[in-house]
Amino acid sequence: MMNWYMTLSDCLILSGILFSIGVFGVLTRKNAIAVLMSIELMLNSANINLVAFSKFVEPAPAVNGQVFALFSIVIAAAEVAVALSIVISIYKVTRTIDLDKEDTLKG
Amino acid sequence: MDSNTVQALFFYFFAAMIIGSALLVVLLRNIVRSAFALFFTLFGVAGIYILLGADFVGVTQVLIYIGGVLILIVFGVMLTHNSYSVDMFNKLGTVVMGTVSAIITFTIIYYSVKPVAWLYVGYKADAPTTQPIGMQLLTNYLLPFELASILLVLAMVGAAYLIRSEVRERHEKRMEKKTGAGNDREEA
Repeated sequence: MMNWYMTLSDCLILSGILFSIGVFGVLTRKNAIAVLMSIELMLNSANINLVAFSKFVEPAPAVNGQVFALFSIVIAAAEVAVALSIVISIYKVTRTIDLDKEDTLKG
Repeated sequence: MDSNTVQALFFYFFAAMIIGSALLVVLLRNIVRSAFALFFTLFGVAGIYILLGADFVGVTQVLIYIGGVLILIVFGVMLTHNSYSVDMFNKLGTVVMGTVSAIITFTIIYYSVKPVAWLYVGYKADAPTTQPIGMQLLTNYLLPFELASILLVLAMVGAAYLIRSEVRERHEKRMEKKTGAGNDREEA
């Protein structure tokens, strides 16, 4: 009979994989909204870490890790609202969201 | 099969779903398809939360990320519609460098996680977490809770201010005046 367990290391490695995929996306995408989506992947991987530590390391009634994850979700929501409005206002001015062409600040 | 095995099987199912759809998010050329792949990633993460006994965080993930953030992103895609057919990727060199950076990041995380003997607290029965989270939010985390509401108001006002059309028109008029003045100077 197989005897598998879900361990803390598994969760941390899953979140590491997700974070690395996010890093790849942030570095290679040209579209600003696709970069935002990759940042969302990285934020989610951090949240998986918080919840996994809350499950495996904290003693029974404590939920500090989950409260941290909730705050992180709230801040991510605020971040994506502001970032998208910046992207859209850049689009209104320059008519493109190609990050390679947004070089107005280049000296 | 005992319950641990079932839990592990579900974990691997959700992990495969997250990794596969996250790869689609960063690799697909059509950004609308990327957004739909992101839906499955966020849903898989919610499943992982619920497997880890965090039911309230899992439901919040579905409500805020899938119901809020993803909708916002899809609106962003639609409002910038003539850009989603542009070539999504940088030059080959950048892709190679991105792959190398991702592999280095993963290697660092893997070798800092794997050898550690984590201090386990032993088996914890999955209890409802909504009540303890509410207690924590209104006692130990009261100040961050209030700060989070201020942050949300600021973000909402800021986002509305940034994309308000009236401000943009005024700004454009000012820019026109400025460039007009610049032309005059050049002529003089």
